[in-house]
Amino acid sequence: MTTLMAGIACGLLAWIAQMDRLMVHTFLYRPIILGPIAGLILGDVACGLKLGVEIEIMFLASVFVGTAIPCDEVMSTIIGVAFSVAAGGNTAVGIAAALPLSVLGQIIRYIRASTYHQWTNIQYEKHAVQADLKGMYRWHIWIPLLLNLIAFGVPTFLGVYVSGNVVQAFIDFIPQTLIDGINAGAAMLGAVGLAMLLKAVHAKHAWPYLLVGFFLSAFLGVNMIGISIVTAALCAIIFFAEKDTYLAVKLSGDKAETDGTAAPSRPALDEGPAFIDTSVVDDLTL
Amino acid sequence: MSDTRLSDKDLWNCFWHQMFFELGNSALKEESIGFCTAMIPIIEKVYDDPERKREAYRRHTEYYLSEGRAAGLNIGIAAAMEERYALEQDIDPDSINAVKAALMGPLAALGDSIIHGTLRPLFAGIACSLVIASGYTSIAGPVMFIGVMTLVGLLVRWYGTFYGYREGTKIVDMIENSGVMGLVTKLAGIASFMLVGGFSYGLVGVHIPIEFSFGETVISLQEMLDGLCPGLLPLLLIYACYLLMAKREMKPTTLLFILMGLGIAGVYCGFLA
Repeated sequence: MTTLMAGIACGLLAWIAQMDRLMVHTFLYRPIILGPIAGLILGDVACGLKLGVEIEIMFLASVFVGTAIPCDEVMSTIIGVAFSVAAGGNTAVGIAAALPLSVLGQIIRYIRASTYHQWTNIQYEKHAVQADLKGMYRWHIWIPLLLNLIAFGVPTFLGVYVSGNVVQAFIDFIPQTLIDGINAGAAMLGAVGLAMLLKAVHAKHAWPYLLVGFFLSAFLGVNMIGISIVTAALCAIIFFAEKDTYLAVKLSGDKAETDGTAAPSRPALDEGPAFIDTSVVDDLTL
Repeated sequence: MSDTRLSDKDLWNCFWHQMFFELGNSALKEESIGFCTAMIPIIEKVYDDPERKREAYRRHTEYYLSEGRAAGLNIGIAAAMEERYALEQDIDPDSINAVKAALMGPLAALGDSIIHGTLRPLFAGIACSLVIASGYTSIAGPVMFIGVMTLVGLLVRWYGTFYGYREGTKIVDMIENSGVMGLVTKLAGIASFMLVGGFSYGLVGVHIPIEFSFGETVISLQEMLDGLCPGLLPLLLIYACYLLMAKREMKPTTLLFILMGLGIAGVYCGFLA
């Protein structure tokens, strides 16, 4: 495929992926999927897979909770793969590009949420209160689709289109040791993603289970499916063992409420989710 | 008036309308337009009078934010309430939005923590492990990931819409009164930690190529560590990152750059490979 066609295809891919996040949500937009697809378009699936895996691990814990927009993985994966393929399968180059690109993607999403999507929202409401269905569909679906094509498709197309020219200059500039260094660094980046997941999940009591999982995979060589089976089984065991206790505590708490002897224990419904710590996501924003 | 009651066909129509749920999300009213569009098949069916339709649509332009698929439950319940208000007119229309608002928090918590916080990292991690194990040749991992997660999303949405409609307001009581929420949150925490422990060995790599030679014997530091505890360094690294972010409040992006710098410096100085 010529670079122009590849660029257009990648621009469309970025658009489809971003729209998937907002529509059917097949999780197409995750790096582990976009990596190989971009690799297919650009001619090196293995490289796409490798970079996809590395970026996926980096972004493993990036959860879009509430209104805080995390770093964006779509553009960074696609353009990252373009860079890596242009560098001859060198994923270190892709990783180096992925970080700044994800910030760029995040900025575009912030712009979107506060500008053109607000405009379409207001226009939609004008039609909704008139029960004008055609207008509603237009401002909810067709126009946002078009605007997002421009906002995400065009930058990605540009990034991929120039990747060939830019990358060679980039690499000639970089010594091999640096590239090895970036590879070594990339192998460690997963630690941040995993640590973020741990921090976001407020579960101080669960540290022993971390060691159990670690023991299973490091010493016994159990693969992830095996570990998931053990996790699911343990959770089921604990659930059945404790559910009556939880219900009893709840009921006695409610009874105490009506007796006026205890303060209500359930969290106010208008507080944010107690499980995911939104401050982690705020940290991802710059 | 039985022909204006919602049929399965209407609920399926509503389900397909939900495919555009988060499109057009703005900071202003978040998912309100997705919710309103999802209600189109419902409102068109249960109301005949154009003025009541307009009033209903206006009702659903209120701010709404929840997890996209879990919102199906909220939509099903709103559908039941709209139908009742249309036919029997014996509920206060403001209560429809009150119920929406009351449920959007818990549904967001459950949906985000289970679908995005546990299932997605889990299956993504499994997919990554499968890809690495195949030497970057097999796409079985990604295919499995996208298949499972799409199915989960569609099921949650479908079940929420239909079940929400059928059980209506009973669900509000159930979610508020059952203590099971606390237990599910605790279990999700346990599952996440255990999975992270499992992932740490395969997905994070720290190798120290330092060797000591005494005459003819060469002792590799990495081998010593592996003999002691394989995967020790990755585990310690994860814990160190956790401490830096939790106790020292370091931003993850800073940490990413630090680790990258460490990797580069490490290779230059020879203590990393």
